[in-house]
Amino acid sequence: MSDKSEQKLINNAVNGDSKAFEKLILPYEKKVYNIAMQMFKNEQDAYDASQEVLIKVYNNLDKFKFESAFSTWLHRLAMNTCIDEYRKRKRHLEHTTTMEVRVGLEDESITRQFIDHNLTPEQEVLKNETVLEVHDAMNQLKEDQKILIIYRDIYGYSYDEIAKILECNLGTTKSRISRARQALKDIIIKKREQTAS
Amino acid sequence: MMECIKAREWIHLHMDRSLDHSNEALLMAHIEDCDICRRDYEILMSIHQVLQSTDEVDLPSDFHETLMKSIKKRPKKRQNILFLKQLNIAAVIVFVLVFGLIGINNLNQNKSFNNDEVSEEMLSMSAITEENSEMNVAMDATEFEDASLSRASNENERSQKATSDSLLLEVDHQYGNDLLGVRYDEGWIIVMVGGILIIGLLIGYIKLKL
Ligand SMILES: [Zn+2]
Repeated sequence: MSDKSEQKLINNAVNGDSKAFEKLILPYEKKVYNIAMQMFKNEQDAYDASQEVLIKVYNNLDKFKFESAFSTWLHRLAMNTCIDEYRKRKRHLEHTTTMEVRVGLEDESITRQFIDHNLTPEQEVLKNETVLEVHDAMNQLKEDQKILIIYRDIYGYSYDEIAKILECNLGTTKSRISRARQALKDIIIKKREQTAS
Repeated sequence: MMECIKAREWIHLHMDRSLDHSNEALLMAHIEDCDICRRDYEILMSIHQVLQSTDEVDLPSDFHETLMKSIKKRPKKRQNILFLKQLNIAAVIVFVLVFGLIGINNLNQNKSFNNDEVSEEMLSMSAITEENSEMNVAMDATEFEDASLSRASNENERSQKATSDSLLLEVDHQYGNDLLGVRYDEGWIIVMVGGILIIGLLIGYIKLKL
């Protein structure tokens, strides 16, 4: 979509044209859902959170002043909403005992998601172990670091784009992402040391 | 021999494929020698590989439908803005009609036709003169300041109205002057006030963003 036609759609959507909003949002739906999916690792939470993001886009569209790209603004809403919703669910999970059951169920679907058909059975086992290890570490990562890893390392957003989403300078953004990767690595090292001893 | 702090920084650059060739060689040399940096490098690279091979999942089939449903359910303040705009347009139309009619009435009719005793015949005559005077008002609106021109056309108008006036003469003698009590010049004031109000409303409309 060209910037101009996107701008026109935004203006029409702000004036209450829901068809224009539909056209505007359609190219982003899958991406937002996938980001939420990586954040929550279960379909229901990802579904709810990404719906929440897109409804927020609709409700706040009149506040979008074309100071950034629309996609940047949308991803800022997506990041903030995912972080908020993740915190809410984490708080809720801390009060329930279903967490282990949930994690157990999730592992299976996660490994299914990562199956690489070019590997030998031995390699696949090893790969699956690594996948689970990373997935487990991602689950322990703080939510604001997790979302940065999702944008940078899973979906390959550039530092420049992420800096704009965060409204931060490039240097700060780079060091925040390095620290998030470092934290992820430290979680894995700690886990390995625990299982070794 | 490079320091571990530098190596750590370069591992991230290596992950991002933005480390240049000469530094790449230095980093690899350090990783060969330093156990801790080698371990970090290996873990970071395997994390990177796992994350990058994540498949995209498809959107659930009812996702878009659910979203549009919940959006349409929410009567938003945006719709209130739309309502305000419609109200503004309606107000403009009402003012144009009301002040237009009053203006026409007073500009061209020194004497009122709003008399109950006026015959059917006279009413149909006045309808014809009103049609003519509508054209006059249109002229007046564009050439606001040029009052003399409009007045001149009013003079024309009056000669055309001679026949209807003669018919009214008898009624006038009996009932005196204009029932509304608005005179020739006051018609202009009403048209001007109406015009200002219309301009004000149009500015209001533009400010709400077309
Ligand atoms: Zn080292």
